[in-house]
Amino acid sequence: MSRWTFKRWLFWMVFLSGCLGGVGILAVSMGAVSIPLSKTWSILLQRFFGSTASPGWTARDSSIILDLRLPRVISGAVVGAALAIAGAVLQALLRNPLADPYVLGISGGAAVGAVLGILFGLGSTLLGSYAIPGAAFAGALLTLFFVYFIARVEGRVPAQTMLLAGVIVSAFFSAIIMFLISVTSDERLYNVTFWLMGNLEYVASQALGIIFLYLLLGSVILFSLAKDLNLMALGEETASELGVEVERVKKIAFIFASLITGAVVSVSGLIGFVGLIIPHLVRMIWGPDHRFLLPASALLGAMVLVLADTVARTILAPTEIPVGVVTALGGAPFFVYLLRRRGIAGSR
Amino acid sequence: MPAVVNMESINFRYPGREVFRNLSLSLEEGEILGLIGPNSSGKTTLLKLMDGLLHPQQGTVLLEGVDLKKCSRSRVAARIAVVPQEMDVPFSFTVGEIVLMGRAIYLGRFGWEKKKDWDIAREGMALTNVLELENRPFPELSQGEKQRVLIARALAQEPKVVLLDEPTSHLDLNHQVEINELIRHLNTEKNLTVLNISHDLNLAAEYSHRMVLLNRGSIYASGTPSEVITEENIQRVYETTVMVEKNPISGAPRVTPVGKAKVGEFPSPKTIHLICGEGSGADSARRLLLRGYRVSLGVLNIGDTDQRMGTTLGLAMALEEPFSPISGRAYKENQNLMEKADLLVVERFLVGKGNLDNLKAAIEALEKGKRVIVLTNDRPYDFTEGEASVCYQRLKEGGAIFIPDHSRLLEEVEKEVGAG
Amino acid sequence: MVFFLLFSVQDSFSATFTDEVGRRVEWAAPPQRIVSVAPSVTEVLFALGLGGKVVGVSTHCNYPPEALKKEKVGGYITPSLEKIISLRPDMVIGTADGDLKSFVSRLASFGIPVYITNPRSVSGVILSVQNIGEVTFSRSAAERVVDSMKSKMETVREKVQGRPRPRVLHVMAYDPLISSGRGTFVDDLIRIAGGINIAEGAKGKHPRYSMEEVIAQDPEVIILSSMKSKDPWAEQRQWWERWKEISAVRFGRISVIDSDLILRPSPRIVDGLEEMARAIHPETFKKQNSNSKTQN
Repeated sequence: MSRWTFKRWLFWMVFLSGCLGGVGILAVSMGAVSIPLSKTWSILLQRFFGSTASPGWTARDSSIILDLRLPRVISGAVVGAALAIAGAVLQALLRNPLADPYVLGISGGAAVGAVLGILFGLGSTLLGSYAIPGAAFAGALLTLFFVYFIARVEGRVPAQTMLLAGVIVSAFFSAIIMFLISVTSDERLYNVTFWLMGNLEYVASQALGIIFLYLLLGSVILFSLAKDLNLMALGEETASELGVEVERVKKIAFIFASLITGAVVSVSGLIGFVGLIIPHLVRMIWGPDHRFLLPASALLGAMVLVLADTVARTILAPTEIPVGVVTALGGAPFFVYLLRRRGIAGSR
Repeated sequence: MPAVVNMESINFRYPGREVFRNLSLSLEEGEILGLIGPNSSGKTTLLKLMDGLLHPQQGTVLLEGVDLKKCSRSRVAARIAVVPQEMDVPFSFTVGEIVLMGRAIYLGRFGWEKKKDWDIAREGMALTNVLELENRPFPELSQGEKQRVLIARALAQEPKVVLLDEPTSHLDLNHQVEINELIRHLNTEKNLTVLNISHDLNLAAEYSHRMVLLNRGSIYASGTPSEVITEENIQRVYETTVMVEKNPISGAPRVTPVGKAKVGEFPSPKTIHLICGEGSGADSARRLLLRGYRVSLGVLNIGDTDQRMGTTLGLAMALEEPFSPISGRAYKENQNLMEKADLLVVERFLVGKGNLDNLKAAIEALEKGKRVIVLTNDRPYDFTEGEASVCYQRLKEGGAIFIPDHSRLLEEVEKEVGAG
Repeated sequence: MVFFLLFSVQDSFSATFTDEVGRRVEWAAPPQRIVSVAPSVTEVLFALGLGGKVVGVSTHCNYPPEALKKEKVGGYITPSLEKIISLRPDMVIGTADGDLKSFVSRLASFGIPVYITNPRSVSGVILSVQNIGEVTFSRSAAERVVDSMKSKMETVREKVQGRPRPRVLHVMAYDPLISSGRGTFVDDLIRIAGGINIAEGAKGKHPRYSMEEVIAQDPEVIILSSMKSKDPWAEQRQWWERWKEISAVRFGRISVIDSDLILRPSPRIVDGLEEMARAIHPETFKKQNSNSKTQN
């Protein structure tokens, strides 16, 4: 029958959360400066649970662990989770396995916002300024409204129309960005490119807090739609026949998936492949039931991005590769492998 | 019976195409309504309007007295279940999961299925014979299997009404019957109201209480199957000639297409006279007509299958009152026809006292020099205490050509009289 | 840095030189209309008293103030050929950045000689000044400038002689954080000014640094310079003050130096050198200069 009972679900959630915790600690212990795992562990314990024995580490070590790596790993987890959930939701709504969080043009709008912000010298993310992420988020929101109103027909939002509108808007924003890049002076160019490639290094802690709240709110709402998403995967008509308020579900899902995408893109830039591949990975192993797919994608997305980021900053140390490069270089071949082994629809 | 679904004065159009104008239809509680009509007559659209998937631009659709527009989807789903023609799923849910989705409205927001839900789902799957497919991925099934799963899913909704869009179109005959029997069973046992859209006129006629014939967006005919399925209606709506007769077992109308054989088109055709009855002449008549021969029949009782065919096709016939033995008048008529014919064919039918004279007429004709072809009759056909067998004997001795079946009929005919 | 100068007099007044990338250039008379496509070159020309002969400058040329009034011909990586030609120069001087070959050959096809300088160090800058002086027939002016530059350099050298060399980090850009490595002027300046550039071992001229590495390498002096803004300290202050375990932060040894002084191969580079030395060895320079701010 259904593969999922509550007990089974709970087991996997706990297991995956544990894995995420493990990966997180591992990631925090790795970096350009070598700090042994035991020290890392002690520092973390001390920070979160009060002092243990006399500190065997320097202020330098603890500064690196707590002020540099820990926020970065948490950023990676939050961004990875958000992208994976958004990707899964959009794949269900558009009934298209190629959908990812950027397919509706949200990323394009965020990018334009950020690029404009950088070019107008709105301050920098390094410094904890909200200006650039704010501009990016505003761009994302505007895009959402834009796409929604383009695609609306008589009070309904047909999925295919929305997809087309998103693609067109994306292309339009890409063109704007290309234009901006071509007329910009050379120094700022590097900042713009850097932002577009996506990175987790400069996500300020305060911004992280806000983003996390968005993720929490968005996830709760999207998880509550899991049952409806299962039905929508059968087709909008079928879902309606089975009792789903299709238009309402679509609106809510689109809005919140776009919100969490916009929120993370505005602080991390464009990190690709996570939103596309993670949901497929989960489906291939555990099946397409969204009651599991959504939270599992979040946990797995978090893990994968943290791992990718760790690779990005350690493999060619001290040089850092942009994390988007790692996700693409790793994601594409892995996806090809999965495709050949099992097929996209995840036939087991 | 109160109407469960009431469509009043519906106007509906798709962008650029009007479908229904001022259409009214009701679905009575506890009935099986068969909806037939040519493609693009609006059958599926009607179903969607009934389920609230589409809303008419004018007019109302009432579900148990409440305007569908005002009903929430879950309220509709609790009462009406739809079995679509096909379902294309890009994700591999298992059969069990698909059927369980019918329980969605009963599950609550974060719903996990309870034992009761599984039981109901399994019950539906058992009824439609897909229980052993429970863990197979849905996309891998055959068309027929998929269809049965969809029916099981509809049953899982525990609906009052089931709307089926050509549910048996992809099924083997045994499954077709099975499903229709299942529907009938659910209808009588659980008072399930059914709307059955069907391409198969005969099956629909067989299993429907009431039928509606839709043509180009309006109701062409409505009533009992016999009232709706008439040769005239079918001719007008489907633009094809058929013969409608009564199914001898159930009494439901039974449609037989007779093709587009045009009679009398060919110059100076040869005429073949068939001595037949009980439908034994249908095969020969068809073959001969298609080849361009003229065909006459006799003696047939009115009401006989071959008589009906003859009437439909406009053939010359010698007729007798129903259930009466062959009278002298009929006999004479038969003789006339036989004289005009170039060849006689004696078909294979049961011979009793009433139609023994048909054989005798054949013997007469043979003796007069007519060429006769006889179908060997090896079934127990003789209800005349041996007289019939004697007739056959005499036909044989008289030089009639005996053939075992119709496959060489045309050959022999051509040999005897030339082409048509 | 290898260069040699050939001076040959031919029948009409013409001279042949070899520029700093090894090209042979020739012109018929002392140049009267000069176009400069690099800010450093502009500064040199004005310093040599040739300001009156300059007919075109790049958009980035901002010193001396008189340069701002000259016709603009575009950026120094992609100057506008049209504009340059329309000014009818008899000489164009530039640096070896940007897409050199096509630029030079296009100008050559219009019969305009181009002289390319390529200084790589502070000494190289001095040499460039001399060369430019040669090719513009302003030798004596060049000698004066060069002497002044050399003496300033010597002063600095003497002052920092024998002193312990602190670790220095130059922050050229933040977000991402970029420093200056081996082969850049800044690297040279740091060395002459008596410090150790922590980025000299990194890959490339402008390596990207993660904060982790900065913390690990613990610079004792941090120099901020920015092409984007005039007051990087105000912008970056909040950030740096979080990292008290970095010596430079702990002891308030963060200085701002105008990027034009240390990134540009012009005569003022020796002023930049002074600033640098002041920042690295403040104890030897009692005088406070308005160009430099040392933060506590």
